[in-house]
Amino acid sequence: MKKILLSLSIVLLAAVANAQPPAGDAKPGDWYGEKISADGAVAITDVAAKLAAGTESMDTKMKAKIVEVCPNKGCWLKLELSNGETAMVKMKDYGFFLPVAAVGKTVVIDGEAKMKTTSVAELKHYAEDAKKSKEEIAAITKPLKEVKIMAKGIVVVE
Amino acid sequence: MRKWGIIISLLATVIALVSFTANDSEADSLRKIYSQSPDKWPKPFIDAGVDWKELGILPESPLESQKDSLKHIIELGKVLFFDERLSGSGKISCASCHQPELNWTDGKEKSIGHEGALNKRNSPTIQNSWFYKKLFWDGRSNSLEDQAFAPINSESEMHSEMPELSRKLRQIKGYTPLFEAAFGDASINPHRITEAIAVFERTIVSRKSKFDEFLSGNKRALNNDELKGLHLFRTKARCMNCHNGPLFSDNQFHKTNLPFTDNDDGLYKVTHIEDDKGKFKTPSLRDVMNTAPWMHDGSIKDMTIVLELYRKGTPAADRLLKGFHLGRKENLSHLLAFLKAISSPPIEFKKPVLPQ
Repeated sequence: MKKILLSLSIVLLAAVANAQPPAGDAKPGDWYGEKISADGAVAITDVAAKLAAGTESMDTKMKAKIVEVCPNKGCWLKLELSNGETAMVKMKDYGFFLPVAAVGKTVVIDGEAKMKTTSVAELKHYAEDAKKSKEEIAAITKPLKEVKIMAKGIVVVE
Repeated sequence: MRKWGIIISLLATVIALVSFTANDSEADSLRKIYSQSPDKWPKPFIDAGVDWKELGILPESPLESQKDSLKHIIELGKVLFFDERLSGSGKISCASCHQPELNWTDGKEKSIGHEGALNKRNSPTIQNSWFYKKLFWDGRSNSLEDQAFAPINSESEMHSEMPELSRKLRQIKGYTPLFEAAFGDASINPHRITEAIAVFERTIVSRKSKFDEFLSGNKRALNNDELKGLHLFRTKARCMNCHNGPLFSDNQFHKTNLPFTDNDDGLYKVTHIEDDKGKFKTPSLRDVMNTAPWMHDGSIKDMTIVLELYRKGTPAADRLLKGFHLGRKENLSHLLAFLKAISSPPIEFKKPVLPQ
């Protein structure tokens, strides 16, 4: 058993050491994925408003502030929207990653934005999985609407 | 007139005989040279500054000695690798693009992903993948654990979401004992999923080839053409500048500048270094004749074309790919024969029964 744990811990250590977001400062001009220019970008809040009004999807350049980066790999981001909500960004083909230093930076993202609705039933499932209390689960009554973006390229602007 | 005819045919016979025995003697002397231990082989043709290793016997998996203590995690990884439920559609598993019977490739130019999406590059074999320092053709991943995240999460490949996938697997009762046996408790999370897959992948290696038999002491294991191919491979054809060591790869990136390819920046997308534009990872040549079509984009289906390309050299490619010249009696077909001699059918593999 000791042997198993030992070899497992070696394997685990290797995995933890290797799965990290890339290094970097995310300075203005730094880019990720496809190299894009910041020209012609629209505010993320405008995109979110159009999606909320029923536009199915928008393939465009969006300017937004990053509030969170996947701490393990840099494989997803969250962007600030006006009302305290966030938009979720994934990278096309899982093809590139951002450094954690990108948190707080303003970027232009070229990609496709959609509104994703998660049903009440699904939300309750997730809450159960997360071992939330019965009260918390019962409090879920509204579907969750979230702006999701599939990014082709990202450039830091501020 | 008839006399001349006889003389000419006699002459022709003599020439044929002489060249035949000459051929043999060339192969004989090569056999003598290469029957010695590799440190006594002729120096390979390697350009200045290139870090290289001599060719050698197929190495075993680094986990070989731990296979017993790791057997539960390997078993879990194997099951996950073959489980199509890891994909959003429930139709694609890792094994869809890495099929054991095709030396763990899919035989396609580019793999087909979620709802018929065409991938950007050719699906490489997972055989000997423990060896690579960087994963993917563009090296964007530092470990097999990290690599395994990508196809599962990519919208165009398996089209899954890791948090949802963990939830999905928790609902399959048969996975509980597998995770318990592998990790000590039944908790299922993205790191355990990818780790098990990576550990399993590290156990997949090539079968020994004729070349390995030759190196092990059976000096008849390679025929004359294959021997000449080995010699060309190490010398005039300059192959060892990139394809060196027991797995025939330098673990580096090079610019092949293929004539048929689309604009794929390769390593540059990861490093943002101008010089890395169009560079891709040097693949191992173990079992290469079984892993067509070739190159990072799967654009070449005929190995002779690959060899011709490297013989001519490609302008604006890596300086190591400047081309080569063969003598009158040397032939690309010998190189081809050698590539066959380092290719073996895959080791028989029993697909796992999936938990329900």
